[in-house]
Amino acid sequence: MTEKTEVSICFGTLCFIMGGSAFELLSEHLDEELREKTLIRGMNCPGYCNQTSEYGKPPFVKVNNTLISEANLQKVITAVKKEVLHGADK
Amino acid sequence: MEGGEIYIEIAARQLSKKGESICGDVFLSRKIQEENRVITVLSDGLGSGVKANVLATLTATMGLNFTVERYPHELTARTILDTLPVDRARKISYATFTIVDSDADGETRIVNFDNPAPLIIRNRKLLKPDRKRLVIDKKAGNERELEYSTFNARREDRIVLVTDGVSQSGIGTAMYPFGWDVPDIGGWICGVLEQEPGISAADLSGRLVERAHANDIFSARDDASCVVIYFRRPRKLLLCSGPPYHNADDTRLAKIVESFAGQKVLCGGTTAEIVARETQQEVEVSLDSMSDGIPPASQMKGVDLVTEGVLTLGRVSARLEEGVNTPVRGKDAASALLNLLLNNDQIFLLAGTRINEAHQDPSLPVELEIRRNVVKKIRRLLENKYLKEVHLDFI
Ligand code: FES
Repeated sequence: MTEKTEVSICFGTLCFIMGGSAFELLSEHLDEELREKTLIRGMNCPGYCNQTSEYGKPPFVKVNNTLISEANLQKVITAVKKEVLHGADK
Repeated sequence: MEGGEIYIEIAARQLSKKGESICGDVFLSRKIQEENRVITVLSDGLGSGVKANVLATLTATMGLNFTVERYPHELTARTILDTLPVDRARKISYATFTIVDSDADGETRIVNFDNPAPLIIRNRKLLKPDRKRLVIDKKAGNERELEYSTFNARREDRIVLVTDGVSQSGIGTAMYPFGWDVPDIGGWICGVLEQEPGISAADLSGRLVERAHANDIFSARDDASCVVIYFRRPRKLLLCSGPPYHNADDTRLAKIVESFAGQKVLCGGTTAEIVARETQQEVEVSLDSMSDGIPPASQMKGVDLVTEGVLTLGRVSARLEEGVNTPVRGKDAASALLNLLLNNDQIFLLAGTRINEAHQDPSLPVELEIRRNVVKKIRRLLENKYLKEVHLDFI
């Protein structure tokens, strides 16, 4: 069995006000197949927002090991799809 | 004092007569820090609506101020009656009041003027201290009696005051043809206490008024108020928000949290991470608390609640300002925090003073308040509006 794709959403203050609040409903935007293959969790501010030159701008979401800056639903869903497909290839 | 430290929790719940937007019963309470006294007054104004409210406010304010100055009760009553306007229809100057004046060691004086008799409850039984009577208004056969009593409150005692909107609720119904009279109310309270011996003053007063409302089949015929004064062991809450100014103080912060005897709240992701790191615990963001515009709460062993920082505190301060009653409904982190704050008596706020540079960016879509200011505002509201004992420290 393939491992689930892990989506970690930052719910820190900055990410939240910069649009991260939208990810609370992320699972509702994934179709059933994707939803089954992902594990969504929240995280507290890991500090990326304090180093924008290195990581880019909030909101941040991590899909497995890929960090997405200025994340929006579109970007996250695309990344999740990619990871899930990639996982299936293996 | 018997049984150690006593905290006096006072809470009131009021319901206006159906169709009135303002309550004609007025409740005032004041803590006199220097003397360690707490004075509570409940007054019922003649009639209902704005006029009743004005009369009751006048009565309650005078009652409170005279009591602070330790005026004799008789003089207080007379002065109030002389000041109130005479009602044209009823040809009387009318107001009722009950004053409860308690010292920190439990010594309590109760004065009642025409309100239903105050209930004193100890060990789920009604306590009846000796009452002295004083006839006040002798004019025109219009005699009215002032009753007063003194007793030494012990830990776990409660005093319950109601206005006649409560004691006359249900009049004419099959259940209470003559109203919900004082002995019945006493029995009902003892029943509640059997189920929930530690019920807070806020919850008990709320339940009692709701019950009176139900007696009236949810169409209140008069303003109904209940005040509960509960002598108990103080409940303590520690709220830490913000990382310490010096990194070296991280350990100290964690130690304070670990050793605190009471409920604990951490507001702020970084704060939570610091404490978690120092105490070797995990912080887990729980996605099942509904956000309602603020980030979800997290879970951490040994801490009662973990929330995000400034947004959540900002929401808490706004809702405290609007006015909230327990239990606060809502599954968001701010509601959870409000419940904790309102259910505790002594609140220790510990604000970290390290500034989060990223929060000061002027291009942010919302202005993030400086933590220190929000915390100060919460302190002021809890003290003045919710009568909490609050201690604020910075780290
Ligand atoms: S708030 Fe998300 S990285 Fe800081």
